[in-house]
Amino acid sequence: MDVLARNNVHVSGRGDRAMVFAHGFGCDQNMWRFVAPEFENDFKVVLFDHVGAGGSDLSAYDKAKYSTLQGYADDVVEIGRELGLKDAVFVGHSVSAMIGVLASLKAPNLFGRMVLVGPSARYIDDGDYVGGFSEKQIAELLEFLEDNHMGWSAAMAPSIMGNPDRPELGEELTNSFCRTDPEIAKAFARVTFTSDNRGDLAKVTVPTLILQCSEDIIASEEVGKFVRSRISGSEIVFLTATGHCPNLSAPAEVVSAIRAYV
Amino acid sequence: MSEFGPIDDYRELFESAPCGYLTIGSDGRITKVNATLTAWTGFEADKFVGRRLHQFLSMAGRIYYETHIAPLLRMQGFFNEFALDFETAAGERLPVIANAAERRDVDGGLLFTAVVVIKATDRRRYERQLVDSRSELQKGLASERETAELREQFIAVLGHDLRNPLAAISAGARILQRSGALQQHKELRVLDMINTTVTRMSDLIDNVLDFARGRLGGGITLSRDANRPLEPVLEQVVDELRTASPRRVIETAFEITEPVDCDRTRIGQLSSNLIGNALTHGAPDQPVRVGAKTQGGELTLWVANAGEPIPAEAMEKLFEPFFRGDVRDSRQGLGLGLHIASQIAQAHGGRIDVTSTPDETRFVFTMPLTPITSS
Amino acid sequence: MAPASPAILIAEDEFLSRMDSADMIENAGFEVVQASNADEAIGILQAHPAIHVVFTDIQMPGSMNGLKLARFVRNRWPPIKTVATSGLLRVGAENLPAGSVFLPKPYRGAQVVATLRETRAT
Repeated sequence: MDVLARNNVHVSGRGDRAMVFAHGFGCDQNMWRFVAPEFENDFKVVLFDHVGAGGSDLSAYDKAKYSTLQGYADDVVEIGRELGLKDAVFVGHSVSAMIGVLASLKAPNLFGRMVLVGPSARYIDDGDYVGGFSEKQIAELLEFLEDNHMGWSAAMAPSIMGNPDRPELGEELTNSFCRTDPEIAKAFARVTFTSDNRGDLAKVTVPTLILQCSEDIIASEEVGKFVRSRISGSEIVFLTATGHCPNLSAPAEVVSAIRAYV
Repeated sequence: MSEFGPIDDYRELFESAPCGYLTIGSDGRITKVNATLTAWTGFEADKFVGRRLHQFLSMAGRIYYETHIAPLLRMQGFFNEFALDFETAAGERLPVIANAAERRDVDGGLLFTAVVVIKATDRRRYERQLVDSRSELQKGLASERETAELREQFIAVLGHDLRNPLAAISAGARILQRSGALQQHKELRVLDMINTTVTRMSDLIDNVLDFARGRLGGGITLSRDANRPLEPVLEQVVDELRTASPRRVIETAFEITEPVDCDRTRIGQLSSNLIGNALTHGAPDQPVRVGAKTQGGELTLWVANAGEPIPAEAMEKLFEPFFRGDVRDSRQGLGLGLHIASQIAQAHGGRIDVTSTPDETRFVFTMPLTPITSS
Repeated sequence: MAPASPAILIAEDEFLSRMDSADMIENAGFEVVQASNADEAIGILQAHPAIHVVFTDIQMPGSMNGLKLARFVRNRWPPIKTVATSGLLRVGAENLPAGSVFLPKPYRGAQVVATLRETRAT
């Protein structure tokens, strides 16, 4: 199985060091389009899609393998090995933050630095730990995903070329924005929102930066601070950006925060 | 013309449109909301302004908005036909379908985002029902498949367990025959009858299990082979039937000159059933005539007998299972022979035709020499 | 004293079938030893060194079926080949030890004899 084809890997830019961008739940590598190009002058920029998202090879989706985040982490390690990466910078958004943590534990020399954007080690509340969601709410989310995938293909074929308001999008973007197979999306949601990686944080030895948004309902400040407290030597930067996707809503802020760290 | 001036017309259109309408500023906070939406949600306009859209959605809607809608909106500037669940002031769920579009200035800076919301309680319920019944169906299919597999296995084991003792009985008869210890004509006849009775039993088992497989399981499966000759199989079938009915005459005319892509065992079974049928129902003092030839891309196999014609009302039901016609002879069996023959014919892409007159009853099986595959 | 003609061991639990096969094979000039299950067969093989081919049914009661017996024989006495037969299963070459052959039931006497001769010759 060709790893680079399986994960729709794109490599661009130039530099001795590599910077790997991992997208989060709900989208694909396109969500880095305002951030990743800013590093192409100094880094070898690596973009990819998790299996089941974007342009990845859906036939490679294996229910058992991807029933835990480790399955996704294994893919990241494989991509890194295939490209011969060492001491690379890993930038992981949302659930990919934990995927990156797991990958760094499996392949210790793979990453030299990690930037976790909106991370959460566990989404469901547990005793004193506030993850932000109840089990019931997650169950409702899974049901809700089905409601939106009924008409998914209709919404997923926008004619970008006919969008005069966004000339910078260019023609290379056809109907591939955030395209996911509905069944796989549901499974990925379940894996993401039922994950618990609190125990893995203490084992991280790679220098780590956490980028925390305000008013992020998916990964609140409390959750971000928890991650910071458990990864020794890690730093946290509070962005003024709001919401869960600062790489889209405030890319300049994200770019400068990353640049200051690497 | 309304009592308001021209600008107020538009305002009126906005406020009482048959859809909900929101505008969200570049900072992500709601700037405007129309009366329709306030009426639907039970929140006054001042409750909306300055807040974020996700605060009015169900939790699932919030997560979905943050992870799917907001990113897509940012990347492509619009998002159509997505489902959302608002939470009304009364704490109830309001399912809607929404469209959103960004408005930017000449430099590409975000001015505002417009969101249009249509109530979709019935539509969403309908869609949910569709999703639910589809997943029920899929579950049902999966369990059907499991049951079918178990049934197949059961049929295979049953067949084996029934045939084993029969084989042992035949073996016993063979041993006695070989030993030469039985000399009397009567005793030798007994051995013959043991063999033919076993054959009858064996055919019965074959037919019953085939029937079970066809009705309960996946149908008659074939293992085709165009390379092995068919005539010897037909000869053997006729031999066995001659041995079983030594006083009957079976005339054969086989001219199979081209290879036939078929399951030879099944074609043998089909011919055995047709000839057996002719022997049972045909005039006992007249020969049964069997022939086969390959011509015009087809295999034709016919079995003809003399005797009373098949009554018109029976003709329609001949190939149905359990149809036994007139019960004249206890040896008629279960009435599955013709049914299974027709199943085998169908599985080969062929058919069986029957004509019956006072002169002759004739069954004709035709099938293409090679399977016709549809693209 | 070793038997002058090649010896075949038949393992089959159905009494009449075993007797019938034994008769057929003896009439074809082989010497025949009989066992009603795998354990008996192994006991005989240990005591009777001159057996060339084992002709075994697959479904048999006891600790081993015919396939396991074939593998056991191959490991313990490599020169001894096995002909396995069954009315229930169709066994492919990949599931049989090297040098073993499968003969589906129902078979005719002449087929058994021919298969045994072929197997013995290899």
